[in-house]
Amino acid sequence: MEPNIIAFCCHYCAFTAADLAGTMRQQYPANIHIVRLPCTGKVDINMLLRAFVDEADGVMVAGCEVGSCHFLEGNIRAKKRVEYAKRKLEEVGINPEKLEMFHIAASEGPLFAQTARDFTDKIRRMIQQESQIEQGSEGQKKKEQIAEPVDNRKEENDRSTGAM
Amino acid sequence: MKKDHKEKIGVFICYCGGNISDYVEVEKVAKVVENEPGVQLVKTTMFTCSDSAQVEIIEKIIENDLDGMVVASCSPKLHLLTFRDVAKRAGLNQYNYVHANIREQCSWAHSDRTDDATDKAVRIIRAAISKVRMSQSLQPIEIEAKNVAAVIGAGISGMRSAIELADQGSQVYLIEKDHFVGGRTAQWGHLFPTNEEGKNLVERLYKQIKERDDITLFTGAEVESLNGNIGNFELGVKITPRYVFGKCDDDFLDQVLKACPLEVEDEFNFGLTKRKAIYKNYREAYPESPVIDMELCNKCGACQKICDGKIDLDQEVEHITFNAGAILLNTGFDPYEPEEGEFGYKTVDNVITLQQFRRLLDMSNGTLEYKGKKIRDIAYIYCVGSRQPDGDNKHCSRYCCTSAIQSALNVKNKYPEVRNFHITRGIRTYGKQETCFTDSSRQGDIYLQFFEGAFPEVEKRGEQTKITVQDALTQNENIEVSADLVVLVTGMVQRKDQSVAEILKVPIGSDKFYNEVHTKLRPVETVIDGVFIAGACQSPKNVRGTMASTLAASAKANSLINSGKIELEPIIATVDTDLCEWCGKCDELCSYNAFEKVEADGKTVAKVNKALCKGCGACTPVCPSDAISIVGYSNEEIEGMIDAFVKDVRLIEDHQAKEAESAEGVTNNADKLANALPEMSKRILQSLESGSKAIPEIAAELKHPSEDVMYYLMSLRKYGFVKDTEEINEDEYYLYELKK
Repeated sequence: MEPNIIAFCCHYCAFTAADLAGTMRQQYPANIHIVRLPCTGKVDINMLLRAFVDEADGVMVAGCEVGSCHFLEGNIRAKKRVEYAKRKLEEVGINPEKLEMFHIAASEGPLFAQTARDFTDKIRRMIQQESQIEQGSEGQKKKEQIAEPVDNRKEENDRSTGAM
Repeated sequence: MKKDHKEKIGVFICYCGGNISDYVEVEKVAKVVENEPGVQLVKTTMFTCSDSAQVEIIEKIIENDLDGMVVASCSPKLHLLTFRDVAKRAGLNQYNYVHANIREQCSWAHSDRTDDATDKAVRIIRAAISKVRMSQSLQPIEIEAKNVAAVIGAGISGMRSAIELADQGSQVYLIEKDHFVGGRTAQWGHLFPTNEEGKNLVERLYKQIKERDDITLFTGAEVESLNGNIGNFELGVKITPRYVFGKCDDDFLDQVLKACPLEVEDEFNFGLTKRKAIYKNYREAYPESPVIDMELCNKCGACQKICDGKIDLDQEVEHITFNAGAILLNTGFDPYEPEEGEFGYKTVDNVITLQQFRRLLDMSNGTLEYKGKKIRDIAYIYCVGSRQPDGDNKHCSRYCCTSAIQSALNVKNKYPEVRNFHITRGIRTYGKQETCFTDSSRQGDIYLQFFEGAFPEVEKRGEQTKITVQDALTQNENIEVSADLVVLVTGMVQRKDQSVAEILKVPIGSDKFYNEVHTKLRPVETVIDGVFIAGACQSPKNVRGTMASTLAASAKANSLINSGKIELEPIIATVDTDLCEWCGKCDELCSYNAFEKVEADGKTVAKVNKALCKGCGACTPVCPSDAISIVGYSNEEIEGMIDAFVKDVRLIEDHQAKEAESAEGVTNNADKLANALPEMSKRILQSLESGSKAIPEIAAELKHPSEDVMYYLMSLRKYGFVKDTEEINEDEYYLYELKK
């Protein structure tokens, strides 16, 4: 099965680049799901983790090129938050490389498509490796630390309740 | 935040005449999304944007009393406004409509995999439905506007736009940092194609400005501060005096110039000549009176002895403020300054830039000389500082080919014995400018061409300056040209002095030029509402391109402010005053100063200035109490979209069951945050009561996947229930503890 990838794209650059990629008929896997944000400065850790909790296989954040954010420094802030979130992912044994920040200018349709293709490949490889490890050896230390999956998924509904 | 979910949503899916339907099975998609919660009706059409389809949508909305609309077609960048208008015409609030992009970001990008494209289209539409369900009805923000424009920079761009704005009925403040108007054009000498001098253009515009009461010109004026917002900006301007007043005739000027004992390199002539402490950029410069450079002047009083009370060395710097509804930036460019040694610049004595050459040619009289040596052979090296393979300037400066060739025509016309050698990387005399290339070839100029990677070399051999070039036009023959003068055809770069841009917070592109909202469709607007860019500060332009952009910016600015009222997008930050505890983090972070501290119902909270907020959302991640959200991009909405994207397309019934379940459990009591915590969060808090723990430990204890634990823990941390201890356990995981 193809990996599910959420792409948080800023309105002015990456989203426009994605449009351009389509207009230029640049092909990339259909599993890239674009969530349009006004600016990548809006990205927060909850949003990124939410995607993983929802069992997305990878998350990409795509903003303007460094130095050309339409909101001055949103993309730089996003970069920092992505770095922070990567550390958190590592803490729980999720490969931090499943989360990545990209800078794609509005005019770079082909780059968007290329990034989407490369990132999907990378995620696909990671998933393969993980399943091999799981089947093959006794399991990584980190894998052990993720407690055995529990079937009380109903609780997930809690997430949509309250102030969260 | 409590929201009523929309329950009567209409979904309109477009075939786009095959552009979508050739790759996406539209009817199948329609069948699947029909079952989404809140959807009342799904329609497919050949062209949703056609007049007839629009009328049909309006009928459907009215007939079924729809409360939300999703249009799935092309990019929202194309037709968002079209369908907002459709919603309006049908009496539906335009913000209860969400656009799903299933063409550019689906059918066209996945045309090789139709199954996947269909699957993705379902997800995209589902996400849009999820978003529209939670959408709010909004009204555009209306604010008052002053019909006053501030034009920054009085080069020909600024002057032309001042006249245009005044013609259209706006009051104009024209602010120039230099003491003379005309900017770069005044330095440029004869211009293509009429050979009219740049300073004549400046004179014509200046005279028109002087005749008008509705344009106020400030020279020696620098913008110091900016407050307020679109419709009513408050600009603080520092005005450096001239120290000379009244008109001065030529005699007076000659006398004071002679009397002044101090000299400095003349910037106007790019260092080719010297000027005195009292000076004019050039004799016919406007405004007419000279100015004294106080950084240089030692107040010796030599000039005062000549004048009859026209000089006052004790004039003081003034600070003024005024209000304007819109701001136009026309700050122009700097010529590229080559690095030392770049094609012999500053290391070989007869290497100069194109700008210096134009001044040299303009000032020369009778003979063409540089550093006392007569010039016969001139070599022009093109694209210096432009199209750099390794440097920062990737752009083509557009004007330099024409400018260099036209200089070659002028120099030959003035001094027929001169020979011109053009060493180019391909000539770009586009459009009507091609004629000057033809003329230059006809007069016998020699063209050599090099490619990227084989740059010509300039060196001094004895008395002679030699340029070696691998000439592509003669099959890469190494050709040597000896020249009396080497002209580096230097392009345009952004001004070094970026103080205005910093004050105005204008976004800057990776090429350092100011960023427009959309390169093609909105080339003179910036994301800062009410701030426009025109001329070469936006990208390299010649005079004609500058005029076109400056007139466009004037028209855009005037249409904004002349009615006295401005409508703004309501997609901005909102503060939930129940949750806000005023910590000031949002205020600290906001680049646009959109937050202020106010007292409301006996507590201090943040308030958003609706006209200043750009809705970028930078404030939402830093709010510790989650009080801020961006309309249309609340956490709830984004999470809803993520859910819709990730969830398997075929699990529709399952999804409905979940929806129903979660709807039951909705308790929205913000100020009883703790009680409203999800069960999982409560369990994490309980677990932490026995001491600090790392995520894997909590996960093991609760028998829950650690990514789930982390999600809840991060929320708890954000809302101030839990904090990092900054310690690690033996497995090097961070420990968390309860925040008391």
